[in-house]
Amino acid sequence: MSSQEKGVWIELTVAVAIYATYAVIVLGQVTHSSWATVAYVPLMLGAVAASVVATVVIRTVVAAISPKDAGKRDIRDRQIYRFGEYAGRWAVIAGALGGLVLATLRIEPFWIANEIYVAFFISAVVAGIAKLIGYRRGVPAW
Amino acid sequence: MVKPTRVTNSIRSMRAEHGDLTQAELADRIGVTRQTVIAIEQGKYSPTLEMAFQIAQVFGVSIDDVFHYPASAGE
Repeated sequence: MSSQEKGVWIELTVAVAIYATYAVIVLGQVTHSSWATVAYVPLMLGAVAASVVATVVIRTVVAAISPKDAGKRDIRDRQIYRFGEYAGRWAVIAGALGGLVLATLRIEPFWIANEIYVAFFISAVVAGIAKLIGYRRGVPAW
Repeated sequence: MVKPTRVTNSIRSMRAEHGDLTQAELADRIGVTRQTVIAIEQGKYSPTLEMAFQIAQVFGVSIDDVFHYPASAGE
């Protein structure tokens, strides 16, 4: 497995683990009190920061364990990266449009923030899966 | 759905003919990862034209000695 493919696995795993943790904590608070009183902002910012830090740390550790191919990236990796980002882009667009609609309807910021956050999460998962398909089954021809 | 490439190649046999050149050695000579050479050999990845020329140059042959494309129906 190339270092870039390992990187995709790490990003995908971290994204799922961190979002699942965030969702469990927020939903746990919602069941004990009203969603309007949930302190989601520090949790959300913490989850975003934890995603970045965890991805960097794990990638660094994996690169130290197998330094031979670490950081090596060729044209196939770049094509797969582009394909994955293209596949996941619709979720970001849908999330932005959804946020816009919710804001115009004067919905509580809790819902707008979480709708946009879940869109970023879906985008990351779709992009990650598309990249893994690119590595395992081949880069699709347009 | 991923559309399989119709390009086939003789890289595996050419590596054997050239002193059992390994996938890693070929990858180093054309500046890609070993996984890319494996993907090309297995027909999971169509190399760029430039990469195809580089591979042909390593074996000292022309590009159509390494890569093959089936004639379309009616030809």
